[in-house]
Amino acid sequence: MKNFKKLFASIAIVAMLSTAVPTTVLGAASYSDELQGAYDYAYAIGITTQSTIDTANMYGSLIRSHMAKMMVNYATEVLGLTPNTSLTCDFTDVANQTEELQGYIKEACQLGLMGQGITAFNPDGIVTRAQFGTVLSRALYGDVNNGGNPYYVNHLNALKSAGIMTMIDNPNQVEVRGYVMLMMQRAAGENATPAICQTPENVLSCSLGLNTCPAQCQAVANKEGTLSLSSIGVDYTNIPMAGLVKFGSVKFDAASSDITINSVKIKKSGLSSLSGATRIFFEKDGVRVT
Amino acid sequence: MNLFETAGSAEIILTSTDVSSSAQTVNGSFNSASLITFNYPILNVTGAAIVNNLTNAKVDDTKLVELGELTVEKTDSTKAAIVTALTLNNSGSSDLAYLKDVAVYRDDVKVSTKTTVGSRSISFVLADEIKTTQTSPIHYVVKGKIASADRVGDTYNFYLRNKEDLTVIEKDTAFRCSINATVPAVMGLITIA
Repeated sequence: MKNFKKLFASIAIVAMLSTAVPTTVLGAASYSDELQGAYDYAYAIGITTQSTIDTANMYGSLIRSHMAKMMVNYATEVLGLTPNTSLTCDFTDVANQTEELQGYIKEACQLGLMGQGITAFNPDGIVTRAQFGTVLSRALYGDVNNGGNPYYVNHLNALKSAGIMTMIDNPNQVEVRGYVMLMMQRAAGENATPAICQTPENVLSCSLGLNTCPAQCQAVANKEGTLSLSSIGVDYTNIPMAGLVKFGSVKFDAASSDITINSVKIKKSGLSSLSGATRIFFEKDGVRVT
Repeated sequence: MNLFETAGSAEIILTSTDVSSSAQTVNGSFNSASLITFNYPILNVTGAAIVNNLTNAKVDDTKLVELGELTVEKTDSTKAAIVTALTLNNSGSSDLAYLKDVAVYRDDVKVSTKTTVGSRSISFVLADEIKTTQTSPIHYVVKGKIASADRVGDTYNFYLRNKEDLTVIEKDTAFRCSINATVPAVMGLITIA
């Protein structure tokens, strides 16, 4: 989500091409669109630093120290949580971890996500669905779902109710990295416009302030101001076949009130296809903002 | 040399189709030009972190200290490049808000024009040219003043997290250079003494 003040901001749209090729030579995808989208999302926000989905080990398991890193990045960068640095959060079994991971383990604890009330962190322990669900729920909802018996039951139920975690029948199953990315993506989308609010009849009823406007849409319907988009082109017409390419800039102009941008959908046209490894993102002043 | 003499076969156009926002009215859209790919060797640039000599630092809002160092190197002596952006992450425990006047310096001359401090990252905008004939590494040093700290023992530990966090473009074409870097590229721990 990006906020634009009443002036304007222009951000560049950039694509990382990994060779653009005609459609006929593209191979079959190894991952579902859903998992591909989850990987793209995770890479874009730094949950994974693997530059291709094939090296991201999407079907592999996850250990607790790595979950700490992923969740800290997610909680601070996406959810905007702040660690309580006054908490000591020392553990007896993390000395052999890298300095980077030790930092993340401590921060996960200071965020109230992991390592609560224990002295041994078990950094190499394999993460189960119950453990991941508990941590994700704490990041999203705080401690309101703590205290269940077993400890995870309220957390998993909350995630299922929100449509974030669909399978909770086997809490001891080993969690899968790709599904972790997918659930984080779903959770981040909670604030996006719900599908029910996008039906023509509900758009109309909500815009008119009618009682038929669903409750979850009423805040969404409270829109104001005008947003204008315009394109700023680039000086070239030919681009390299592989590498990062700037396609142009978009000027977002908020005319009468501050505007919050939730998402921008991009369509590719033209005669070529893009490789599955292509990623598209916006950046401002050279810094990725999506 | 006409850089575009080798014709490509792939045409790409990107268009925005839907913008979800809090605005009541959304006007306009984004349409890129029709861009055609061609076989062009992009300039390769290598970025590497230098481990900081400074291991301990005191709170002093008048003194610039070196927080991190990065080398940027191109081996091609036929193209000039421009370093345009750098983002560093901090895995240390200290709050970035306690830093003041943070900027990037080359040969002790400030070369960054804008600094943006986030919760865990700090970004710089630059427009620093690496001349065509320059093939030895350029050292970029991040300096700032440690204006405050929560406690002695807090740390700063800056690192380059993704290769895309370093942006270098070719001067003549404005194409983004290919960045070679082993990430995370850690610049060393600085402890508040």
